[in-house]
Amino acid sequence: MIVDLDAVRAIAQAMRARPWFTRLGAPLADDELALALGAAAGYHVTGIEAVPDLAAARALALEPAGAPAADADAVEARLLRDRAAAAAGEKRVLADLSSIVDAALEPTIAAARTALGAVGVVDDELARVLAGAAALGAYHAALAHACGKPEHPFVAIDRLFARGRLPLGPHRGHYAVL
Amino acid sequence: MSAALEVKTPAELAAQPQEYQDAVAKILISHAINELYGAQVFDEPAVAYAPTPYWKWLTCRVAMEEYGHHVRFFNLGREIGIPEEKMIPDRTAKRPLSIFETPLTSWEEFCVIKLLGDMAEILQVEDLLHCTYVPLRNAGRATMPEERFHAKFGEDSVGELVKTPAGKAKVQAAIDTIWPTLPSFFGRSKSKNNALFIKWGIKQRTNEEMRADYVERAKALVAKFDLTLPELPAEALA
Repeated sequence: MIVDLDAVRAIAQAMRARPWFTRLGAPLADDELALALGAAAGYHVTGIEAVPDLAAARALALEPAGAPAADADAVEARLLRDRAAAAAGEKRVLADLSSIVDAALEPTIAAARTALGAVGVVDDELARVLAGAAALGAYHAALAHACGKPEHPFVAIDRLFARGRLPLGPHRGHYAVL
Repeated sequence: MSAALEVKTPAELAAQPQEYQDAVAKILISHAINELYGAQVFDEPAVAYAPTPYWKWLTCRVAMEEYGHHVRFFNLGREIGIPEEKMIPDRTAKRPLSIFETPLTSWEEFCVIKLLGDMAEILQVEDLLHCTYVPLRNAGRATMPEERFHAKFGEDSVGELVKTPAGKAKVQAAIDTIWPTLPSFFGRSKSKNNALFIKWGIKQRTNEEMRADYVERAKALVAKFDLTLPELPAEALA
């Protein structure tokens, strides 16, 4: 397997310029709907749930029913990381993956605070939840790219973040997006 | 001597006595290593134990911030010429603090670590806020708001867990497991390094003073949730 670490670095470089969380609650555009369907395919659901606002998104994310899908993502991420490490060397892969965390640290939290402020919400915990979700999405997508899987659902999820949305995961047979 | 001392840059540090330079290097290495250990041993694994996506994403962010603290101290160390391998856990012979040898096994344990362990970190960082080496003082100031948030995360998550009798019992069991490892976070009493740090105004308080303060604060904190700290053997407080 050829490992594409250039794609990992490209995601890291794009972190600061992304319009994080700028389209929360807006009607889904056609390309966003296509991305949401791509993400949904990873969880064997076909419908899309357009979540109306942050309060509804928060309530949805607090449902324990969402945890197994997130845990399955973590298992998949570990598999991808192991594959990339086996092919390109663990130190090299981990160093490049660290660049995603480095690059995501400041812009994601700043954007989350701005997005919340725009709707009159001052909630540092929720800002961290948004920032954590976004960084995790980028990290997962980087792993998929590194393993030469640009069609992986992780990539669709990250592209939703990159469009300014908050993908929330599978929820009652649909894939939920704010 | 240290009251008037204020060292503003790595260049100024290089002109200071070797003993002062060594003391600054030691404390930077300690912070760089322990921040990274914390992220690797507790925060990253905790994502899997978090009960909902909300708490998973929040934990993920907390892990990133702890990693960011490592990077902050690592960069300061690099600026003054500390070899990188001395500040990376896997590459140094320096042993981690004993707290990092306790494997994380549950969400309740993680919440207790944030509640009580991050309070210990706050005390350590507070002690840097008047440090004579200004870049280290500034790093402490930059780190403090996030450490306070992490401790609040501990309070909020423990507050949620103790709402049920079963949850409260699990939190108490986690405290009983974790608490005995925490007082050693402050180092040995009569530590030579600690004496040097105080001599040069890098730290303000002795290990014993900080540990005693910590134990009192921790007792008051867990009492808010009608929880208790187990008794510690005398050697844990020495």
